[in-house]
Amino acid sequence: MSADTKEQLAGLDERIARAVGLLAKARLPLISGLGADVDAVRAALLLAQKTGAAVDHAAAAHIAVELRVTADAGHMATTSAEARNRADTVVFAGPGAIDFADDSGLFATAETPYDWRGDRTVLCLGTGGRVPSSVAAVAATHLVGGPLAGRLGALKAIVAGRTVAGADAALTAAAETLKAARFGVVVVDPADLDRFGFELLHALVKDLNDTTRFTTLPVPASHQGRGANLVSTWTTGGRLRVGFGRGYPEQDDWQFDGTRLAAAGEADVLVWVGPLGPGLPDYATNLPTIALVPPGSGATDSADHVVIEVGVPGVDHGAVLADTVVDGFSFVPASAPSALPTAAAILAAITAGLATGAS
Amino acid sequence: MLIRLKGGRVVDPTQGPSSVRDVWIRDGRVIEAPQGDEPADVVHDVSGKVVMAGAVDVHSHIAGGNVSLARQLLPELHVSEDPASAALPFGTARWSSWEIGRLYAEMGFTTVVEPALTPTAALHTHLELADIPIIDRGALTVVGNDDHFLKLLRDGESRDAIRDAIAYHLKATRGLGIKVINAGGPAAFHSGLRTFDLDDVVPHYGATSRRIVETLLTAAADIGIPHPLHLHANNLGVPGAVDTIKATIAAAEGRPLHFAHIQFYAYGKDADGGMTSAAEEISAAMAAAPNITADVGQVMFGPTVTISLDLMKQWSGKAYASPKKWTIFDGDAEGGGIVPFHYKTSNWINQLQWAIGLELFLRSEDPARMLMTTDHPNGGLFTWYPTILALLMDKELRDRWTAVLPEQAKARTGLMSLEREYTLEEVATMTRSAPAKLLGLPDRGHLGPGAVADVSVYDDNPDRVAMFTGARLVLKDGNPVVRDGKALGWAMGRTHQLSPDYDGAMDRRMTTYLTDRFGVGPSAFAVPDAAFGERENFQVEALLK
Ligand SMILES: [Zn+2]
Repeated sequence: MSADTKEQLAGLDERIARAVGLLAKARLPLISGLGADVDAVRAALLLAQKTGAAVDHAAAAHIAVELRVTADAGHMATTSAEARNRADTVVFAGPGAIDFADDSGLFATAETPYDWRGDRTVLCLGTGGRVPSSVAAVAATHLVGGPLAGRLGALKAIVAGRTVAGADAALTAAAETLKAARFGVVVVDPADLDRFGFELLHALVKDLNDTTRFTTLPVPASHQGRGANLVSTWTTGGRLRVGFGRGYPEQDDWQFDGTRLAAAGEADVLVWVGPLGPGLPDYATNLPTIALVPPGSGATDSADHVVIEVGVPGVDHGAVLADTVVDGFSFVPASAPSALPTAAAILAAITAGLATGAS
Repeated sequence: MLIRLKGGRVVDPTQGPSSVRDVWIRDGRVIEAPQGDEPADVVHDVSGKVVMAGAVDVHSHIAGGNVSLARQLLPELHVSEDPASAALPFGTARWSSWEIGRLYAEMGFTTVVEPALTPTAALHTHLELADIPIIDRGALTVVGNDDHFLKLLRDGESRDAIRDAIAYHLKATRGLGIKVINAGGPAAFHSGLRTFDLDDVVPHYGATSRRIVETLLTAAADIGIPHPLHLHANNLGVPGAVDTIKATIAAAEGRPLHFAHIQFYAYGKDADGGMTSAAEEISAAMAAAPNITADVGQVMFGPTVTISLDLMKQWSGKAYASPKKWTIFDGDAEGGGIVPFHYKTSNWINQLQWAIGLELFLRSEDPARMLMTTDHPNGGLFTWYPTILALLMDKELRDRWTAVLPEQAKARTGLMSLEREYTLEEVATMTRSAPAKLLGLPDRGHLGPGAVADVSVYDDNPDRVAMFTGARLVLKDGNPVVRDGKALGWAMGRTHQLSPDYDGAMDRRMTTYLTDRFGVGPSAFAVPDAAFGERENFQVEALLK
């Protein structure tokens, strides 16, 4: 253990006690960020149940678009491995899909266990003219410009056999490409659409399944958004955002929106759980804050800003994370084990401190 | 520590006729009455009460990606409204893992099996199971629709290779048995097919559903899995599906086979193609085939959600979604279909489904071979169990329910003519000893010496619904976990698994395959102990010799 680490750990009890003190007098704590591993999210929810807190996550589009549409209308989706291996038609809808494909290299191989798949037909829809540079085994690439949501609406109408005023040849050809797929996948970043556009996309995909197979691959949420929402789903019965003010979980996207709660002055202390980022939000400046952040975050400790440095999951300590190995959860061992405490352990210590009344 | 359960009427047919006697427990296990006058450290006076082993559920969708997807699809169906007590955080959070454990335990259930452990979601499923409090858990590894397995069939691989591949999946995912869903159907659905029967062929692989089932029956026996192959057969919900069941029984050729939620197949067809009860036919077929067991999948009324890896069935079922929203997830092998459904008393088909389920219970000669499930939540929530037991035990109660059956349903079921009333002993067999034995958990489901001290104590209340809804006392491993129908706190149970050996060549082979397919090697399916931190989560059970 380095001298620096010893110093960090020495101040730990005092900082936890100050965190307990802040929470003990809070009326409505806000727990947010949650760029964290499964154990940290479990511990955060337990602290929320104990304190009546509201709980939000940094991946706003995942909640406001993707998960909202699931609850409103349902959806169709697949895994990244199935998208890579099985899809003979890949639609990149919006610029985020292009970035995801090129950053991840998901389609960079021609190999597939499904030896009947053949080369891929690529359709870029509302990508601002961009095409991915990393896709292998491409038979043909089609490009349809224009606003994404508008193009989805027109395609849905054409696929349904309606005439669309002003439909150009590219759009008509795109509809034929969709219908000709044997197993098509639309790659889409929920951040590129509002919930109405995202619902429209799923309506189109569902329609296509009347005559062929089609599905979607949403770009993974940032900062463990999918994992954190799933932990909430099985722990509280529902995804985030959730509040415990009445002693039981209430799910409400508007009421428990952290940014709103801070701006309206409803939240009076912030617990920012960010071992995997992001950094503290702007509104933390005006709120008493307990920040669980990795070393080097730049957050400074002061009377009503308790900064507790925690290990990075998968680096300082082993942890269960989402979407890092396969879609879903996997255990990621520590790549550089250290003595830094886990966010889960700090949250549990704070909860225990509240239980004993120590402050 | 020595514990004495004093003066209850012990109902456990595995230990002989019911009688008033004491049950003694030392260090979490049932023992013979101690010699001499050794005083008990703890005495629970259960005079006048009914004492049974903790109940066991072989098929209830309580964890995993599809269960959580259902929670996300239908927030309006499980709005929480009661504050949790300090000892039971999240205990009133509806549809949460915590509420599931509490409600099961309060009914006197101590072991529940999740029947859909998909390999790529294995860690997810086990994380959820580990957060279900009080009860012990297990899960059935889903096999038979994945590319790796189907290629073994296509390539004519040896019986040993197939045995090893299934053993690898079972061990890696930490399952307690294996299950196959509409064998070949989900794989065919990915390729665009919309129906799939026993002799249909999976496109690109050349294997029929029949061949998949026969191969898995052989593999299960070769590995020595105590639980019979758990089969979600073809043609779920289709009028005439009784023929599929009979053909599948024939295909088993006397080998142990368990049909999941068989009510959904006990459907005949009249001249117009309309649905009729085929419960009598199913019961006769099962009476003639002692190798076959089933759970019912009883339908109860009200809004629920159907959760299934049978993508084909869910695709056709979405037409009946209520409310009108649904989700289909094309997974790495099966995937999942989530379709909300409302079983209505005003709908004669739903009424007929309800009647057929009860017929299956009442026509089964052996309560050990027709087990109680609702295929939670597909036929209804598991919290309907006390009502189902009451209906089985009380012909008058059944008459009150059947009095309101619509004529179309009445004409198509023989339920009203069945006089049988289940005894407490039959209930104990059906909900305790039989499911425990079927799962390969020999120290559960009974109160003989050596049994795990999972014990449920009930008031002998003529209101059987009240009796089975809230146990007077439940012991888990000898410790009180429920008193007066209420959970006392969060004790945590174990997840039971098998850990079969296989040839080391399969490790290398699967590493190559999983690397090609997912880019990550064995970690694609891995469920390491480290993922559960300090929690001691798993317990390995024995294979058959
Ligand atoms: Zn099921």
